[in-house]
Amino acid sequence: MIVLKDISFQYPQSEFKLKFQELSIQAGSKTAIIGPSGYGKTTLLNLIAGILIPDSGAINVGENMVHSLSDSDRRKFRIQNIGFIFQDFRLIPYLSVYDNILLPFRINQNLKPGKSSKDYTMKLADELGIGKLIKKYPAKLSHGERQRVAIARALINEPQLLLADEPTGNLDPANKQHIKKMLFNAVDTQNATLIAVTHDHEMLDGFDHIIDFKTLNMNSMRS
Amino acid sequence: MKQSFYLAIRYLLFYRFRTLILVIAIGLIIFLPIGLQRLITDSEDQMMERANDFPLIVGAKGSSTDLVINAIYFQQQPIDQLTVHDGKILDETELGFTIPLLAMFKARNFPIVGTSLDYFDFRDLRIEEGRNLRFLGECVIGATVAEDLNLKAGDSLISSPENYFDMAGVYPLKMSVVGILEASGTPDDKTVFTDLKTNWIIMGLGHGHEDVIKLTDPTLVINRDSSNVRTTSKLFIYNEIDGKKMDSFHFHGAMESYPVSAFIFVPDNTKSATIFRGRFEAGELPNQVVIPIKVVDHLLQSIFRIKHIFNAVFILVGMATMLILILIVTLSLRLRKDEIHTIFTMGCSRYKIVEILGIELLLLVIISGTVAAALFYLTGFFVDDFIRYFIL
Amino acid sequence: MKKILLVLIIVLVTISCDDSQKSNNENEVSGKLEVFVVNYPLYYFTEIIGGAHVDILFPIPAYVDPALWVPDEELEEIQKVDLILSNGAGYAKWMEKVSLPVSKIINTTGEISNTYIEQKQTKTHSHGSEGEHVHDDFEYTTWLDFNIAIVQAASVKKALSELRPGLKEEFEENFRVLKKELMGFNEKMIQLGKKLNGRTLFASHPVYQYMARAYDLDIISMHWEPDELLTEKDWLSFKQALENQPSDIMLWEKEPGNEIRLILNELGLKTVVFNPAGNTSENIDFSILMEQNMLALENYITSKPD
Repeated sequence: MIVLKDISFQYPQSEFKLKFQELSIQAGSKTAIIGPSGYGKTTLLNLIAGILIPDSGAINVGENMVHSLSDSDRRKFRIQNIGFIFQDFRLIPYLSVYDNILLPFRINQNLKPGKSSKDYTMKLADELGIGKLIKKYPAKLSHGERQRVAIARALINEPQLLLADEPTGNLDPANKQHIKKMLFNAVDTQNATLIAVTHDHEMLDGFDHIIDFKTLNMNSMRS
Repeated sequence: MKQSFYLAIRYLLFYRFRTLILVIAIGLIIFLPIGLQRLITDSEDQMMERANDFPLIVGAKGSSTDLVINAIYFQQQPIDQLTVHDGKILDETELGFTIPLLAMFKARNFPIVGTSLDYFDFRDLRIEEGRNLRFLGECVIGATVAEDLNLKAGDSLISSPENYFDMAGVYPLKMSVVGILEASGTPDDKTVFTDLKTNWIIMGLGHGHEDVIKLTDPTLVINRDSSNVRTTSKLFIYNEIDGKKMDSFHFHGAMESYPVSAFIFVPDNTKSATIFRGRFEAGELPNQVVIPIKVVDHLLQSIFRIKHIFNAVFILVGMATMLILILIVTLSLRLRKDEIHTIFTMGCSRYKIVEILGIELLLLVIISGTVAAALFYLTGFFVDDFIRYFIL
Repeated sequence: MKKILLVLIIVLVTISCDDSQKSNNENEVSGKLEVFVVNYPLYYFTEIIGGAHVDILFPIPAYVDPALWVPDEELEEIQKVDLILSNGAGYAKWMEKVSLPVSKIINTTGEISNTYIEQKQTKTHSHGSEGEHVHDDFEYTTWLDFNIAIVQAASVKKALSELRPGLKEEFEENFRVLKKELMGFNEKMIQLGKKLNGRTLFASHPVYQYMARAYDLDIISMHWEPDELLTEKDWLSFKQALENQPSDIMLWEKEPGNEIRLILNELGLKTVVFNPAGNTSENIDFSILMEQNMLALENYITSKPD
């Protein structure tokens, strides 16, 4: 269960402010957050991930009181519990597909043992249809292939929570559906919670809940 | 740490061209001053060691530097020649003994030095293959000569017709290689040693030909009377000395007037050396005597004054290069802002990020250092060339 | 136990030190000088002066004229000796064609080199741009002038003394004995020269020039070999020479063949053997050879009163 209460956040030297009373997301659910640009969708993801600290309010992800954790504890929380799919994939250009997928293990060795084995990586890559591309570098991949690598990287450490920022952005319609399907399968398989930010209304089918930032009630929002 | 190394290596290998440029640039900056220092120091040591092995050199009056360079480094210099008679005068002082040297010719770019057997004992040169000189026309070659020209005992070596003094009447002589010296790490390794008399034959002061008195071929004799036989140029002047022809080889004129480039004078003791030099200063003995180590020391001091200028230049260039490298690294980090933010977002600590970047830099420095070390090691092989082309 | 071991070690060390000291001394005293000589007279001089302190290398076979000998494998040994005694005056031309440690060569007539007698060349030759020239040579049987022989012996003494300064006095004493002997020969030759004054002597070979100059002898030299038959032309030429310069004596280095001797007898010439002693083949030393030479001359003079 993810619960955000009485949240107030403002970027320094900026007029933008995010403020709402309550937002709850069920564990294991697939939630889509929609809304125009500049409303704070990505900010919300960063708050949930502990990248940003609210000026006031509480953020609980499972048993973790994210808002009150120290820097290093928030970092540990992220690496152990959260998988990120960035809007522009953010693959590391000098690492192969294999190394990109395993990146979470390279940057933190305290993850679950055994998961970094080549077999699991290959299995995941095969499931996402990029098994044969394992030795290639991002520059040689298509848009869709890069997206799948980003998904694999987000899932490699079997996170509880998957935060995806525009996971199907810039893909053609056929690929969008395909990616969405793979993402949902992976989330279902790992029983993870998915929170995806998207502006593509055609992709909303299949999500358990939809949070429209435009109409976000400042009192509470439960999904 | 292991994973940070992995990521750092992957980064450097992916951008291999950039890495190579950085490694070369840093490597050169590290190498240049120490490499030059090594060249200079090793050259100095080598030259001083060689000079120290020769107590006194006697030569014609003129440049003492040219004399020493000719006499102990066997580099042909424009010096006047002495004669055998000059050596006799030195021996008659009974203060030591002389070893003659004549270095006027080359064989395939290696200097031919005519001397006596005393030189080999004096320099403690040992024969590795074959034997030492016995007869006219033979030569003993240094280890480097043998290796470069792929020669062994029993082979032949022909002297070059060109000579420094542009003498006419020089006869290329086919010499027998009878021995190869053990490597000594000195200019002796790159020298072709002959007996002094063999050099005179190359000069044309001695030769062999058929007995003109007995000639019957009319095309060889221009005219003949009771007191003289005049031959044509068709008369065969041998360019090779072997057993049968050896008998006919002879020298014209008094050998005492034959040329010698310089004499090594080996004094009996320090007192004899002092007295000997004193006689030159007092004008009792003609020509000049020099102490090689003093001449070489003076030569090196003059040349190596330039070293300080080089060092100053290297420091400035090094500083400029380091500034550029810092700029490159800074710009590179800026370009990697997204990458750094990505891994930070994914949970990488600031410390880990610094560790990864730090290891990249460290690897660059280590590889550059290795390149510099390799170049430094290779520098050792060029000391001889440095001496030859930049000092002598 | 430890004390016994210590004493044993000390004793052993002391003994070995003594031994090494002794062997060092032995080497210094008994280290013989290796000397190469180019001819028999120098061999004789070195033997007398050097005594037990020299090992003389003289590898030339007895039947070979040392002046014409050419070394081969022997050169390796010659190059290793402590001292090389040369005669000078162009004797042993092979020394110009080989490599030797020059610092070890002593020219025993170097001191009087300005008195060398030039060979008379009958023919010059010219080739290339050099013009007329001969292959310059000197006469080289210098020791037959016993004054020069003494100079040579003195050179030998000096060379040995420089290499073994500790034995200088012994060498000096030995030289004195030799010098006395050579001076005796010199005196005898002076007397013989006086007695032969006015007479022309023929010689089979041009080897007596220094003797002729020193003792005022009029010697005409041929180029004959003792065991070679002469041609009619040679005899004709000789007879003409004899007519121009009448003589009744011909000096030979060794006994000529019977035929030559008989012909010479017929021509009124007595053959007298005067062995220059460049080499020796009869185990007879220099001293005895010279005695024999002078006796032969004396006998001739006695048998042919003026």
